[in-house]
Amino acid sequence: MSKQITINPITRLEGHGKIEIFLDDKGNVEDAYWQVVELRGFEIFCLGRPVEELPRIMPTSVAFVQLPITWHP
Amino acid sequence: MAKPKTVICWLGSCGGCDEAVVDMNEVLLRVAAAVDIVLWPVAMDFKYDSIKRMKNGEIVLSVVNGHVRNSEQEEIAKLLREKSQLVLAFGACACLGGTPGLANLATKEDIFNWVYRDAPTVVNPNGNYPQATSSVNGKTLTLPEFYDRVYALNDIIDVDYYLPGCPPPPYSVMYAVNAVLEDKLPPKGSTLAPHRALCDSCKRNKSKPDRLSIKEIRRIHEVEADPDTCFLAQGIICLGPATRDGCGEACMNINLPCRGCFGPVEGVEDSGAKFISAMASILDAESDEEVAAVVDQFIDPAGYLYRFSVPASILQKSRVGKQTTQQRGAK
Amino acid sequence: MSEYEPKLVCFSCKFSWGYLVDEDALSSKIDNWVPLICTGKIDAAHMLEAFKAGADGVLILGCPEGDCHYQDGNYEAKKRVYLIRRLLEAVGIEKERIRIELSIDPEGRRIVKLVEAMRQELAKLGPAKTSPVRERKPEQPIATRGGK
Repeated sequence: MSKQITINPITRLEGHGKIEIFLDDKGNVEDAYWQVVELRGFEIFCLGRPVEELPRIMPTSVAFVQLPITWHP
Repeated sequence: MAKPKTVICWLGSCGGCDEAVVDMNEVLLRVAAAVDIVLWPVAMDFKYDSIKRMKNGEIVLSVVNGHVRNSEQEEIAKLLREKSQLVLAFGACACLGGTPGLANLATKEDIFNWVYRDAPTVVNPNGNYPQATSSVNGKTLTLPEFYDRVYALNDIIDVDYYLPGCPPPPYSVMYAVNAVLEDKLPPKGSTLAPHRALCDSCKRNKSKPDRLSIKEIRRIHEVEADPDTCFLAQGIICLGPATRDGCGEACMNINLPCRGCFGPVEGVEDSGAKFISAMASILDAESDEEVAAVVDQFIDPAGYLYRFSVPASILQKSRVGKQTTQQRGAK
Repeated sequence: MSEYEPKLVCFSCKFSWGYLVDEDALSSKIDNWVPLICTGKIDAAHMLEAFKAGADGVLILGCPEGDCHYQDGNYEAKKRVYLIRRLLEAVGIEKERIRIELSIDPEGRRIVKLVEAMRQELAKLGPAKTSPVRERKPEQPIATRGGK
């Protein structure tokens, strides 16, 4: 009886994904798939925004949100 | 006595809010000593299954950042709500929808067509689009369902507290953490930030004339903004009057006007609408022509007014999709 | 879905519109009529709420330019309408769906005519493309006098 192992979520990185591992009857890995489980459409919704505003919008796609405005303690 | 179980989980998130937690620096060690973190995908290797096995209410506090746009994000939000006594919406995306909420001005079709077909770098000869279920080499793979619009966290679950900001500043996070650890929380539903508008603490406030009156709207690159004068007085759009205080004027301090990441002030649902009313009152125009001329200079109303809050706005989603590049003939 | 009947919300200032006639009598001729004191009191949020509640259009009737009892309430309303129009365009609601007229009509006869004229324009435009989540019940009024 073949088995399926799901790793969800993948951790300790920036991003959302899962891994599906399919084992054969002997318990060896037959197939493995990595899937990205999010999509936001940044390129689409940045269309129409003033270009000088982009430096404060684009960094919110990937944790560089603090880059333009480093917090002062 | 067992340490209270805590979750720090991201939904549709960039990771900036988790970074904000880490930015507490040494204080984080004190937090880690006081609580038992049972899920924190960016930093620790716990899986959703371990949460599913918990009893309802076993988790004392779930700090949830990110918006909801697909079925897995909804499922995790609801799972955490079920297992937790308190849920804190952390950051602009959880509180209001965030910048990805701007995708509500386009359609799911616009996004999918661009990402999987029309973008110049796409190589997709078979025209594959993501499906909820697909069969590959005889194996069944599933993906979350991509919804038509972005939701803020309180559209999906009951939220106990809100911590706004993109991201919330470190001292704000520490204040919230202390409030939870010392059990000094305000009434349920509160936003853990000052009630008043940003102008209240902005150093440039003193420079505002008694009656603000502008004839022209200027974009931030069109004029060398004076670092001590109110932006609105210089004709530069600044959402300070309609935005909650508490960020420490991070943007103002580097000579950038506010774009509203802290959301509306206490008691207001839609900060963009309030800003329209505020803006109308500072425009120096009376006749139809004068008003039309100055309003025409307000180039991207939805983007300025609702940069972080389209999903939380009164009009919420646009049903009409934006023109794709294919329609514009760019390809 | 039953045949499209445009729903129009009409705000009007009592200082210039319909003040010579009995308000109850006039309100029976106008659906979703909100007579108030000073169009300057209409917050931008109220205009958007009308669309969210199911309106296909919003008509604002204020006092003539220069004649506002509170000096510039009507100008404020006008500026808000123009700004709201820019926002509505961005979310796919045609700017013709919100109108402001600054004039005087003590007996309120023009209110009825203006409402009817705008309803005909809205009929040509079709229903407003606002939130698809909301369920429209044709017989439910959007706005009533003396509070929402």
